[in-house]
Amino acid sequence: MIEKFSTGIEGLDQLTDGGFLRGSAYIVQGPPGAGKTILANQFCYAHVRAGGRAIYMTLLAESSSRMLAYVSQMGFFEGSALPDAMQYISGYGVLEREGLPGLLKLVQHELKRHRASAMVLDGTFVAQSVASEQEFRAFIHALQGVAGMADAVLVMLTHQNRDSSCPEHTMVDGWIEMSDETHGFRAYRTIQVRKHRGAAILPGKHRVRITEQGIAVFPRAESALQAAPAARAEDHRVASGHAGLDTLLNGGLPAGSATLLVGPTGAGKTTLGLHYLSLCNAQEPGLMLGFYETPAHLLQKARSIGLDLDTPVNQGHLEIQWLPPAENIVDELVQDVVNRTRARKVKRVFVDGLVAIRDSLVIRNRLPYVIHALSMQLGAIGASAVYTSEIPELELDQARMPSDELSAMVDNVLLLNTGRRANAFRRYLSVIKLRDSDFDPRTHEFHVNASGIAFGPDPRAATCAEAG
Amino acid sequence: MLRVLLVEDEPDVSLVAATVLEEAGYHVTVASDGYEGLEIALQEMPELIVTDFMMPCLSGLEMIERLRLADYDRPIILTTAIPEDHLPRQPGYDAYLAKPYGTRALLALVEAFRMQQGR
Repeated sequence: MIEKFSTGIEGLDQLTDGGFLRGSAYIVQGPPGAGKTILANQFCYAHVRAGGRAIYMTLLAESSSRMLAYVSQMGFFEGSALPDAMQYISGYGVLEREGLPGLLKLVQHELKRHRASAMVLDGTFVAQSVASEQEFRAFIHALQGVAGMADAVLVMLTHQNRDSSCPEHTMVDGWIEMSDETHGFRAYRTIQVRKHRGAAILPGKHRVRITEQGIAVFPRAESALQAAPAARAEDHRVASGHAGLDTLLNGGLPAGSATLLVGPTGAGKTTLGLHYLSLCNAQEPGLMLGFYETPAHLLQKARSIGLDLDTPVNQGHLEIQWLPPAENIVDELVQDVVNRTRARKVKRVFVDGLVAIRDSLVIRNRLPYVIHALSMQLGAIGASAVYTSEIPELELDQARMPSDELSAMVDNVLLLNTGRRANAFRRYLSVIKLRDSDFDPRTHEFHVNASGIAFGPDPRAATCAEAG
Repeated sequence: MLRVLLVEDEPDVSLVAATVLEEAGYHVTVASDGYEGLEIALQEMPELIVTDFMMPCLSGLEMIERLRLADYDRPIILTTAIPEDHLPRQPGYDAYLAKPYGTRALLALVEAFRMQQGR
């Protein structure tokens, strides 16, 4: 089995099934600003940290010392690796004077001289510009041989937008495409492993973020998380946080299941979620992800209806994550929820606001698949997830779920509806589906008072209606 | 006119540094790697060498080592993006200039050596 070298980027290792193959050549292609240089440097330093030696050879006229000055600001930089384990040299002069044959010799010479097991060739398009298509093809072929003979990984960076019909892509062992795209006013970076010999890649485009720590790649949740074991660990019931609701649910929510609370604004979805979280303790730690109400506001809201979330928060049994509902990378967010759930052995996950997640997606119809992947992963860890999703106000007498792919992707659906009757605002709850279980199918009116959710009409509404 | 040998593998750095030194009145010869630098230095015996560290074929420090073994005793300025405390303990050079450097810093350093040599 051929040894693999980590790319130094966890998400990219996932996409490439473990990283770059020893003795292989790769093309990393993308426009300026897509992150190729950072990716290549990050790989080199990860390689050096793992005990290897790397060379970053630039074919560009621009100064690599300036690039090095920028790279030295990044979290992955390791100054002590210079100059023994990590070398920055220019091949520009040799390429100009001696052409591709000279450059090929130089690559060979430098790999041997530094006993390097990884080399980056930055600006491969420059090599192409000094030769014919045929010469360039022969050069790539020879480079591939050099990488194999030196038992090294060779990563060639190019900003050219060459397609799959170009000969170099058929010759190399791997081809990675990075891009900088726009959708409306939004700009985002992506990465795609177009080819990777001998590995089960995660195909398609995946999101990329560049931070001070370097590049982070977030495999699309529905492609990466599907690989998780789908087995649900337990078959018991989890209390919903409301005794009356547990009765309707035949004892509570199935452990490890995913529940969707769906309904119009003001129907009580978040309130029901707070009930669910109020049972968090050392045995059943919780995690909430919200987009609209800040943690302080949520705690105040819980207090106002007699629910104590302060205690589990203060004792570290409940973590409330709040994010602005703007341009989040959903795959990053999903991975974060999974990581936190796993790390803290969370049992109760509450995600308030799938609309915010949907609106962060560039391709919005991914939402059901993303939520399905998240739920599968949480279920496998042993956590039960509750999500809220907003829909327009429903007709009161039409207490049916609107057609929605999302509802098909979760185990349980509870409809929380609102309506005006007898001159008063009323809330109704219906269990629409419950995984592998019978349930009370009737619609129940409920209200929210100082003790939280209570079944039955609001006495104040009755008074109001009588007065009206 | 003080003769300066500039050994540098980065073409844009080489171009700018050579231009600035020439405009300041120095006679500049350029080499693009350590081997070429070694050859020219032993042939022309410049009064001052400004050399990069990380270069293909022969590094700046390797070149300096060979020059000193060949009794080249004139000042050598080492330029590199590597912090000085990370450099190997085999000095051989007379001054260190961190890359990327400004042309004023380069000129000031070269000027100081020129004055030291009484030219």
